[in-house]
Amino acid sequence: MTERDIVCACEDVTLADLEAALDQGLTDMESIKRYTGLATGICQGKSCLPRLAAQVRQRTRHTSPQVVRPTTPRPPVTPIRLGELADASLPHLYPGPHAPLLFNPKVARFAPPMGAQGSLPKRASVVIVGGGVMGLATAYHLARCGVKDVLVLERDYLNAGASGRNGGGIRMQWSTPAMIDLMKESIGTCRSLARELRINIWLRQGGYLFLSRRDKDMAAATERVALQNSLGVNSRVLTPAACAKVVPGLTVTDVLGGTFNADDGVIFPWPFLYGYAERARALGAHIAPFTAVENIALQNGRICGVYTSRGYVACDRLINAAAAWSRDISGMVGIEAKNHPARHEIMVTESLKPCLEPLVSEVDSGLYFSQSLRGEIVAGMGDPTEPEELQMRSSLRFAKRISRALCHRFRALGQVQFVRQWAGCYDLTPDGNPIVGEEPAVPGFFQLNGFVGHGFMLAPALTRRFAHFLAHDTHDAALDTFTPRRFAPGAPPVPHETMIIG
Amino acid sequence: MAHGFRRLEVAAQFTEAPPAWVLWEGRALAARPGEPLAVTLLAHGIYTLGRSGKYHRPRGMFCGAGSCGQCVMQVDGLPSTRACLATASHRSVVRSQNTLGGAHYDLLGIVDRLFVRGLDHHHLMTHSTWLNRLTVMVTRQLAGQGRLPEPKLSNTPAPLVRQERVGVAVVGAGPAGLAAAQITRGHGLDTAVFEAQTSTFSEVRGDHRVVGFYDDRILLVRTCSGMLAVTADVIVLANGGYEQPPACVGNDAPGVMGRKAALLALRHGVVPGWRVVLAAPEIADAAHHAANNQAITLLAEQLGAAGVSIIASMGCSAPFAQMAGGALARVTSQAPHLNAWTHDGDMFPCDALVWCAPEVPAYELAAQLGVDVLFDPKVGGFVPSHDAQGATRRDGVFVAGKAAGLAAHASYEHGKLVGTTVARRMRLVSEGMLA
Repeated sequence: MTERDIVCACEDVTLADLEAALDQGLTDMESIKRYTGLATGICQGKSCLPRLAAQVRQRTRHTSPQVVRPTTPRPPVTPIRLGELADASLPHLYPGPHAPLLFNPKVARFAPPMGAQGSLPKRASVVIVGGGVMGLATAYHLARCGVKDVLVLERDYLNAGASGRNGGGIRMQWSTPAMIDLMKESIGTCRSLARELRINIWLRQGGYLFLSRRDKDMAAATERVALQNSLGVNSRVLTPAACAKVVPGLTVTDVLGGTFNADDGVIFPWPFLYGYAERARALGAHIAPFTAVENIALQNGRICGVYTSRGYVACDRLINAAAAWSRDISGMVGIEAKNHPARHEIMVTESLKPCLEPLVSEVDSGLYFSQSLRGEIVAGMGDPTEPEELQMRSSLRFAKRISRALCHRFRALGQVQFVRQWAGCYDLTPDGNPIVGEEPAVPGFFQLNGFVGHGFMLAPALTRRFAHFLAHDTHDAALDTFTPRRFAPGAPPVPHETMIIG
Repeated sequence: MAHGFRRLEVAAQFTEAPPAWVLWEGRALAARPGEPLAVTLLAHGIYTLGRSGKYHRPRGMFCGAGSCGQCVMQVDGLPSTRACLATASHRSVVRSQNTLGGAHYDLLGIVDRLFVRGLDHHHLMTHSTWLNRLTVMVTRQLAGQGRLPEPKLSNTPAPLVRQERVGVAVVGAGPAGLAAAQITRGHGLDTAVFEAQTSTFSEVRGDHRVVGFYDDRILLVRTCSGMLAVTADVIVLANGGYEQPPACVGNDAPGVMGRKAALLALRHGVVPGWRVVLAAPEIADAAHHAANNQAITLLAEQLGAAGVSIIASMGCSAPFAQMAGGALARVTSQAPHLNAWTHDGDMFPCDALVWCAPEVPAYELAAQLGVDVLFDPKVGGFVPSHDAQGATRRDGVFVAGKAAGLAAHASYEHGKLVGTTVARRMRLVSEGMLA
């Protein structure tokens, strides 16, 4: 046995791994968790987080507050078999407003545990608000185009928003040509992205299997496949029996058919962000986590700077890549945003040996599940009753619905353990299309949001095009569909994107 | 006293029930029905229960209380089952998971030997796209722990789901929880005590494991007969804490176990080993230090009574210990023995190293309830913020005993204090003097 000092026994994270993360400048618990994988195993950090906290506290004694808080403890506290939750009929748990509400639901979000380090530049030609995949990848591509004085502002740790909370699915099976083309390009980029970013993104092209349960879904699926094929995507329509062949053990008795594209797949989201951030930094961009935008300064109606929690930064252009929080940023320059956030929940099971190749999704219910490279089944599901608001708490309703849906669709999962659930926000737009481009009313203010829960997969291609457009001021037809001008009165409508899952 | 066999003869003699036969990796082992599987294996001298995920390092039981996850194995087809919680039943088929050739001779253990300086999964094979794809393919096959179980064929009746409203919900039936519940009951408050382990007290609901706090009002409790959704006016968290492994090289070696694991074995008439080293960390806080010493003394007395030789006490003093050594510096494994080293280079060979350290509070429920949780260096763990009476800043949420970061011997008195505070508060509420 090699001599190792193991901090997290579930994921074999050693003290050396932890020191390496600290040396990289990751000095908050949430980031170290995501970088090392510590506390993501079956014990959920019960045997490693105190030691990590002690290390972090020791390391950051002089630069940070004395307090260290644990990473958010997600339910369940101990694993439950999915079948136990699935069988549980809990309808009367939600009896409406008359139910006694014992606790004030407005829990203050824990403040960022660690202060930001270093100082901000006084001026940057481009300030990007939001350190998610969109903001970081844009910074990277801008720097590659020669625009190196870029500043990315993130109010929390990297990976705190939807970029660190999504299921990591990437697919070409969309319903509009603009999205299909972009995703073809994106998946092409992902194939060699590990080399480009010099970090593993764990791309596994196991395909995407969409199941249709209603006649109208089946008709739409056939139409979609015809469009996708005409654009060079090798998707195909499958009979229920063929679906069961793609995923042995899948319940297909209530399915009319499906569509499958073998080039679709899954990636692991967390390293993406570290990869883009690290490459952007190496090229000269400035990435500032734990730095919030407080206000935006205009001069003659143009963007001229931004007030942050760490001081004022002058800039010519500002990119609003704040996703679920982008409404607030738009509001700072007097723009009434068309997008709004809505919570979407997701969960993982214990880690299993390879047992599920593609990502499986039900078009109507929005259920999706896939197997990550680490072996967990990652699953999410839409909820028609979800209100449009910015909140990211975990609900029992989701735990029950997802367990039931998974146990029905893939029966063997009934005996598998539910390990962790969490939530993130979709950034919804009226037509299901992203909002990308300069706001006509505020020169210098660019929108890069409204990705409706699918921004992660679009980022590799879209940010490259967007950065080229910004750096060289060249017109890009691929971005035309997404312009904020489409919401102006009298503007021609763009085709609605219907393949919004979850 | 056969070598490797760790069951006390006294215990064996008093067991009248016929043994249950458990099939461990193809080998039939005699077990006492109902004992934890980890104890059955320990009784047969089997310390290595499985392998770790990344490096395939041998792993055994550490916490003995279902918190650490080191002893996971496949039990009757169910993946990642904790051997310290699963009970031995007749004809159980038990095997290690994610191994090639069994827990003891796992061929994939080569990973641990090959990557001596660690395996940086972020930057592994990123210089070539082609090699990277190959790496992803290989990793996919090597990663993952358990096997997907067979779907249940028989449709068992759906477990009952009950909803219940109680006045005071006490989580945990240790000294603090029991004391608090006794007081609130004495004041006529409708009190329910939920305990994850089996309990013989009629006032305690044993095998009721609280698995989370949801939607600002529901304590979700897992019971033998399905899930139970509890709402309460007051919640007292007396759910104790988790033992942490030693912070040193070799801390994951099979045979390194916590105090609770050793006690679990002893309770079932099995010794952790015939040659044991007791080790403790340096504890700055006087109360925790005293409580830990008391716990070590009690454990050493039990071990001594069972005929175990306590080779050494490291970083602490214990009765019956043959030698007293300095603090634990590292552990090396020389199967079937462990070598415990001090900083001075003294080495003590043993079957098992029992790590005696104060538990750190189980803070997750408190955090889900909205209580601010902070790292306290004195405790060495995260502690829910609370006042002297155990009240947190969340209305109706109290923490008591070890869950509040207190030393073990203070738990009972603190539980009483919390119970009294809850009762007084509830009286004021009922008299309309508090909202």
